Amino acid sequence: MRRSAIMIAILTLASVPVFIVALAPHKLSGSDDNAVITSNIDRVNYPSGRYPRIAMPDGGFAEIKSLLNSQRPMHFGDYIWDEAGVPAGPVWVRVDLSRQLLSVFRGGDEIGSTVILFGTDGKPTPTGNFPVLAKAKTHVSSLYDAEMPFMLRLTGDGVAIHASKVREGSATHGCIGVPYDFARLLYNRIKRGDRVAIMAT
Amino acid sequence: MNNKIAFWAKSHTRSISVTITAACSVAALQCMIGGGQLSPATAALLADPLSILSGRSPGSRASGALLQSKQAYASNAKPGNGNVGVPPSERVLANVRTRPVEPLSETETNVLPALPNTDALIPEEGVTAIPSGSPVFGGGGVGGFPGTVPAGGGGGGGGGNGGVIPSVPTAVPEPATWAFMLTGYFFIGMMYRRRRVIRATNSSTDPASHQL
Repeated sequence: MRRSAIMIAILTLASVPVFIVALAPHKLSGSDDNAVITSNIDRVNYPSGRYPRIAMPDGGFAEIKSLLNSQRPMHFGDYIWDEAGVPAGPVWVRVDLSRQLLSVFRGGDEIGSTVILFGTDGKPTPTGNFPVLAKAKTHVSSLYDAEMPFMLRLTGDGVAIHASKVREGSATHGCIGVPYDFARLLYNRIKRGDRVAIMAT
Repeated sequence: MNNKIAFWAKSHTRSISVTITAACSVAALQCMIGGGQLSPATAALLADPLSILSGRSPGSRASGALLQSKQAYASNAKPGNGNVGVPPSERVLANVRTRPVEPLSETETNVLPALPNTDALIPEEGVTAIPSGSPVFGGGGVGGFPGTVPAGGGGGGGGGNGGVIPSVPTAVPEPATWAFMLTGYFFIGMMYRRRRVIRATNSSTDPASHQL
């Protein structure tokens, strides 16, 4: 009788992890959110004193000290990220709608880039300078039947950067979709108030 | 002539930009290896940021047919905004939801059909009143609201497949599931106990008392 009771107890305890695993939310393999990520990408370093400048939506310019040198076109779903040796500084984002790219900078150095999804012609993504209004790790849209993981809210009417299934031929209703892993990296580095510059050209 | 060149250039944009990028990255590497000093010629060859971005880009998106990645809720559908919307749909047990709902006649209200005398019946734990015309839910303990997503789902089967079911904050299974599991273990234990008793009986030295 005691042995059968022990057997029942062991089987019950062994089955508890089955329920937890089945109902656990999507969680990537354990990784330190603050670890410095490198992907061995070449970097194009511009000479100091002669940094090139790129135009910003408000008519100003931003100095670029270095760019990641990917050397070949990126596909939908690809991303690059390399922040090794990059000094501290304000994180800001440049979205290029005509090139379907998003670049993340820390100071003047690029630390990441990816191919994006953005709004359709009927529901276009607005251009301009947008500070990050809010961050949310998991968010469900109130307008659409969609999840928006790692959401960075940009406007009051629903435009945000969030994780999405980035594939060719897809578009959003105004939001900027980035791959899930890139969204997690960006979410861990950017803060509320950091600037996102969306350019059409 | 210019048109031809322009057309050729446009159709070969990617290879041109890649070539420029390659030339510039070679120049950039030379700069980095050579140390701080830059000749004006090399400086001129260093790619400007936009051409590096163009080399990396998959191109600009062609206008035309695009897949919408999100579907609007039906409640947001208004006549003016062209938002037809999609009614809430079940993502789990999709086959169960296709049973058509019988239309009510004008004289009937939405009440249960007259049941026989149920005083003697003891309802099972977890089974609630089933409104007429709605599909039957499994997994007990779930309210019978037709057409909506049951929170939790029996046994936690549907939670992990990337659907948009509101995530259950707790990992405790339904009471009926627990009961089923414990009953199964009880029977396993009883079988084990019986085998032990039989083995103890058979081990006695008198062969006449041996059982199967």
